[in-house]
Formats: sequence, C-alpha cells, structure tokens
Amino acid sequence: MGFKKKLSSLRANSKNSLPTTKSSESSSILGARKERLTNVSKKSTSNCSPKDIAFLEPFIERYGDLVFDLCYSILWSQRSAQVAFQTVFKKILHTPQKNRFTEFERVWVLKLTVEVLLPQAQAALKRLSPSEQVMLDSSSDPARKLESLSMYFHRLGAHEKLTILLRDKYGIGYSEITAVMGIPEGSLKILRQQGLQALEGWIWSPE
Amino acid sequence: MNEFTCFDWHNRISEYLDSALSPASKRQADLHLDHCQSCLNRLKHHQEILKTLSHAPRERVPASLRQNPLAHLPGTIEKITPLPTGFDRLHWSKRLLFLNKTYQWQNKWYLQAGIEGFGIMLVLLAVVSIFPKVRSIYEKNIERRLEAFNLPESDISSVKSIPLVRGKDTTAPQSEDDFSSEGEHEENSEAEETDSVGSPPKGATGRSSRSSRLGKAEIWRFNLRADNAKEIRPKIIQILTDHGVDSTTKGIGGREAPGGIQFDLLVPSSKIDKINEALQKLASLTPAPKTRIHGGGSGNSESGNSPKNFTWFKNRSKAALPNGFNRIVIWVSQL
Repeated sequence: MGFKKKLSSLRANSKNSLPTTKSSESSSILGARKERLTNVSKKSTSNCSPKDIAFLEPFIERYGDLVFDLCYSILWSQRSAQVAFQTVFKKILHTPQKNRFTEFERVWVLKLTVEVLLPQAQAALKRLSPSEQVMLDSSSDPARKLESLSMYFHRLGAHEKLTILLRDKYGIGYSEITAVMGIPEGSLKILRQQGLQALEGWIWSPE
Repeated sequence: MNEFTCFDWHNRISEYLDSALSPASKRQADLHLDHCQSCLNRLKHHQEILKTLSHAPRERVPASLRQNPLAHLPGTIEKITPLPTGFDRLHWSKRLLFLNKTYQWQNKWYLQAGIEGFGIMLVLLAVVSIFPKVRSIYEKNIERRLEAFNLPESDISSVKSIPLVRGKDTTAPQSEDDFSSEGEHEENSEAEETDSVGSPPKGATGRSSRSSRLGKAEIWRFNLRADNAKEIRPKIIQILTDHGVDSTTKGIGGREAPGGIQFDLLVPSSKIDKINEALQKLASLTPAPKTRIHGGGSGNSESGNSPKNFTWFKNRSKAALPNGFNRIVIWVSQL
C-alpha cells in the first residue's frame, strides 16, 4: 500500500512539473511517457538545446562539408553518411572541455571522423554485386574505366582510401594525416602508393 | 650516371608526384623517364587518377542537417533519447523512477555507472554467499552416492548364527590336506581321501554314509586369496546357501586355520558349477593381493581360467560319498 501511495503522489507531481503533450491519454506514468516518446520519434524536431546548436555551428561551417564528403566517399551512401556525420558532431558536442583541441581543430575533427568511419568502412556497408564487378572489369577502354573511378576506389582498403582522400582530394599534409590516422608518414606514403598502383592496375590492365 | 632504376622509380613515384624529391634526385628521375616508357606511362596514369580524384564532385551537407545537425533521422534507430523537459527539476527519486531503458543515460552516465556497479556487487555477494551452500549440497550428494556404491555387507541372519569353527573340528569332515597351501598341485589325492566325510547334510537323499555306495567321488578344491578372509567368509556362506546348500550343513560355517579359513562340506553335484561361477565372480570383485601368486591349477585335474587370486581344480577320490553329492573344499587364504 505504501508503494501505491508513493506512486500516486509521483503521478500528481509529474502532472504538475512535466509538460504533457496530449490531455486525452491515460493518467498512468507509463502511458504518458510512451506518449511523449512517440511524439518525439515522429517529429524530426531538434532534440538538442539552442546552446548545443550554437556550439556546433562554427564547426559545421568550417568542417561540415569536409566531414560529410569524407563520410560519403568512404561509406558510399547518403543515409550512412548522414548518420556518420551526426555521430561525429555528437561526439564533438559531448567531448569534455578539457579534451577539446582548439589549436589543432581540424586534426581533432578529422580524427573523430576517422574513428567513426573505420569500423563502418571495414564492415563494407555497400558493395558492388558480382555482375557489376564483372561489367566493370569487362570494359577494355581505360577512359571509360576512369569515369567509373569511384567504383574502383571502393575496392581499396579503408586505410588506403582515407590516405588518398585526405592527401590528394583534400590536400592535407602527411603530418596532419599521421595525427589523424595514427600511422607513421612512411607507412602513409606506402599506403598511398599501393592504392594508386592498385587503381592503375584495374584501370590500365595489361592486354 | 643515372642512379634511378625502375625499382627506384617504383618506390619513389609518390614523392615525385608530391614534388618532394631533392633537385638532384628529380633530375635523375627525369632522366630515367626519358629512357623508360613503362615508368613514364605509370607516372601518367597516376597523374590522371589524382586529377580525376581531385576534380570529383564533393558532397555537401544537406540543408536540413546543416540547420539542425542532431535532428532525428526518420527510419534510424534513435539510440539516444532525450530526457523530458523539466526533468532536471524533479526530485532525484522521481528522476530514477522515470529513467528506464528507453531513456538512455547519455547525460547521467555517472548514475548509470553507479547503479550498474552496485548491481554487479550485489550479484557477486550473492554468488559468494550461495557458493558454500551449493558446495555442501554437492558433497552430501557425493556421500550418499558413495554409500550406495559400497557393497553392503551381507547381513543374512544365518551368517551370524553359523559359527566359525576355530582349530580342528572333530565333527567336520577332515582330511589330511586340510591346511594345504594355496595352489599346490594335488598329486596323490587318491591316497589322501580315505576318511569318511561325516554325516551327509540335510536335504540329501536320506541315506547314511554307511549305506552309500563306494565309487569314484569328486573333490572340488577352490583356493581364494584375500586381504581379509573374515570379510569374505559371509559372502561364501551366502553363495552356498543361495545355491541350495542347507545352512545347517556341517562345514558351511568354515573353520579358521593358520593362514585363512577353510570350508569343507558336501554339496549337491548339480550345484557345483554354479558355485564355481559364483566364487569366480566373488574373486573378481575381491581386490587381488599385491603379492605374486604361484601355481594355480593341477595337471591331473581340471582347472579353470579364473581371476589371479582364484584357482580351482577337481580331483577324484575313492572316498565314499553319498550319491549326488560331491565334496568341496574352499580355502580362503589370508595374506
């Protein structure tokens, strides 16, 4: 009986303190909670405070496109890229103050991005089907193959892809890439070389 | 001298593309490219690839995501659920009631860690406290099984009532080889079996020894080795009574002698084979003594293939025995 009294008092307090979305639902705590969750999940409303958005805005302005393009280039899917993008910025938001790098901001953001991307890239979310692979390799014209460079690019390993993208597409220096990926410069150069040689082999295969 | 070989070019093409070679190395690389078509082709291919990559279209952040970067994406699993508005104003007990699996602890990680740690401690304490009780139950179970496994001592009332004769018993059938050692070969069995074997046991055909016809009689001798003859004695009595030997038969109780116990009695002929089997089985269950067993079996008589601590053989004797009965002598030697 003591527990029921406590529960009813909590219900009374909860009605006063928490905003209710609909008044027609049952008065049970569980019912009201389910209701609020349903409303939250249906609407794509912001579920972070204006303060959080204000904090993230400069980061998105400076690195949003870079991060999104990197995610899309690796994951090859708009949906996955959006989810990865959100994950990166959530990590930025929830990083404690003392762990935030203000001096090497780009390196920090890219590092978080790589941490998010690597497990997903290795899981290979999107692959070419066997028939697509065969069609890709059946063409003998290197010019046509070069047009499908992105498809060949996705055959590379995750580290090779990241190295080539960061170095050749975004023009980031080896020292920064070393800090981002945690791989020595010499190894990075080897990865880049291997990636380029593999792409060359696929596109300009010897007759 | 051109130091650049194709191998060098192959290893340093990345630096050439980055213009990171020293001026001297670059001159040598260019000289090599002038002479090597394959390396030149490779360089061109790499440059085309890099050019295509750098000119590839770049994806931009969708406008909706740019405005609200943490907006819930339809169709995705919302792993991080926001807390309701005004949650922070609630009393801590009410907050705990509202926090469940749906409400992730992303803002209150210390609460989650604390509660989970407390839960783990409770589980550990429960395991530590229950373990001795479980162990004691297990040990009791083992003890019960051991008790059931141990062969029960035969507690037939007849065993207790049948006395163990000590020394020479005048009433029991006697023979010169009463205290013969185990496994000895019976060569002159015929000469030894001249004494009468006493009154026939009950259940016999009713004829007295004097009226039984003279004929070739069989004496079955069984030698059994055991660590404790007195422990084997009731089992032998049990075997004999189970196979039709009356409990009042003379000699069924055995006679204690130096070195063991001897049973000397008359049993129906038809039961001897079964008694033999039962004794062999008993011998196989009895642990064999550690000393080496010599002998076992005679040349003139039949003997059997039996456990190492058991031998048997059969002799013929001129002694008069009642019809349908044979004499058996069981010697249980104790080490």
